[in-house]
Amino acid sequence: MTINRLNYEKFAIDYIDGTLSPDLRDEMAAFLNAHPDIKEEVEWQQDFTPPQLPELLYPGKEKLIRPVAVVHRLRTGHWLAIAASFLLLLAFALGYWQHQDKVQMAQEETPIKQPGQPLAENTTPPAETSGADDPVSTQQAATPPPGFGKEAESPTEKSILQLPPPAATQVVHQVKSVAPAEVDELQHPEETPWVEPEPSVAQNIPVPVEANPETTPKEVTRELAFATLPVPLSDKITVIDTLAVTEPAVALRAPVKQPESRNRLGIFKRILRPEAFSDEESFSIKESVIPEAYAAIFSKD
Amino acid sequence: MNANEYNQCVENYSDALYRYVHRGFRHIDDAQDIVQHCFEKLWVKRDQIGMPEAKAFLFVSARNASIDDWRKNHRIVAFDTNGPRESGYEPDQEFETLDFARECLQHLSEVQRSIFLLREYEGHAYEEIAEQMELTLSQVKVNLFRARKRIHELMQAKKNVL
Repeated sequence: MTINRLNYEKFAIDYIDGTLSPDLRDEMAAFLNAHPDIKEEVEWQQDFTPPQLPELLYPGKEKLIRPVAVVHRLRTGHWLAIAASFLLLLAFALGYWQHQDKVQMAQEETPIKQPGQPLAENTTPPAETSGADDPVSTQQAATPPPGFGKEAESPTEKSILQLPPPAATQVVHQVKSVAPAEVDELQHPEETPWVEPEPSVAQNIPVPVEANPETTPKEVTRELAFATLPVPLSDKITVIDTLAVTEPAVALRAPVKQPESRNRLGIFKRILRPEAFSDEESFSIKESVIPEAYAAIFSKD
Repeated sequence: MNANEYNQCVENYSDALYRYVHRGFRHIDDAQDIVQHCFEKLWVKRDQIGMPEAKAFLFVSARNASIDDWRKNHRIVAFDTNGPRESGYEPDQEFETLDFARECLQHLSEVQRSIFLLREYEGHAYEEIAEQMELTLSQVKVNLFRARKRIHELMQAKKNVL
């Protein structure tokens, strides 16, 4: 490449800056030596300092700044707090679920029997008191006793209908039905006056300790009720479970006018599970008169 | 380009852009508006423009806006040392050398003045200037050499007068 007066300008800047290639630099040096006027220009520019100008700053810089979304990073403590809150919430949820399971299991242990369904099919008595080894008793439990279809019209039942409604919480029990043949042995309360049985006579039934009714409310239990049953009836009844109901002074209800209520076993079950019946055509029985109710039902025929 | 990068461009280039417009085109009153307009365009097109291209985009936009503004208003002022002062200069900075520097710049062509300002005062690379001015690298160097030569001639002339 030949550097001449027409093209030397585009090499002059690189020559001044020292970025020209060695070959071109030598050629440029030779050209400048041959042209002193151009050499003077180039040498002057090697020490060129631009004229001083005032320093200007843009006055509206703040107006140009755009807001930036601030992202707060969570620190380790924040994550720990979140994790602890989550675990606490999880613990409460698990506790609540376990409570619900217990409630559900308690409800399943005391299923509501359909009308006319034998009590023995849906109950699981304990091994020592269920009488499962006795096939006769199991069959009898599923069979209604004779004379079951009659309405409860005895004076005792009529008096029961006039009793005030139950008032507080108490404990009652499910019982196993009696054998039909043995039910016939029951006597009507009108024919046989109520006799307070001896605790030792009632088999497998614990005798409760009597509390002072004036100081503490009497907790009426099925054991207490059955302890007062006549001997023939208490012998045919086996304790299979204990239920807590929400009616204190007792309280037995059964829809006596419904067809299924004619089943004495059904009535018997409903008497012990008053919480399962809330219709108006039910009757209430105080715990103290449960033995009379049993006697009235099972001696109807 | 996100907001952070845009704000970084404002920090890096707003002053230089303002000086470039203010010194090169003497749009004293409109220099701020031109700079603001350039950054608004950058913000609008931030999705298409990255950080590497932002600098060239700003200076090209500023040059085009300045030229368009001059063509519309014919407000370019012929250099006159006795004319009105530029609002950007403080009274204590109005030295004779500053007036001489402005006189020198006004004796350059628009291309030479822009190249001279970008290279000598803003420190842009030749490649950047070529991109911003849409010139070849040789054209940039030739214009820069001629601008320096013109400035040198003016300085020599002033020395002779003094």
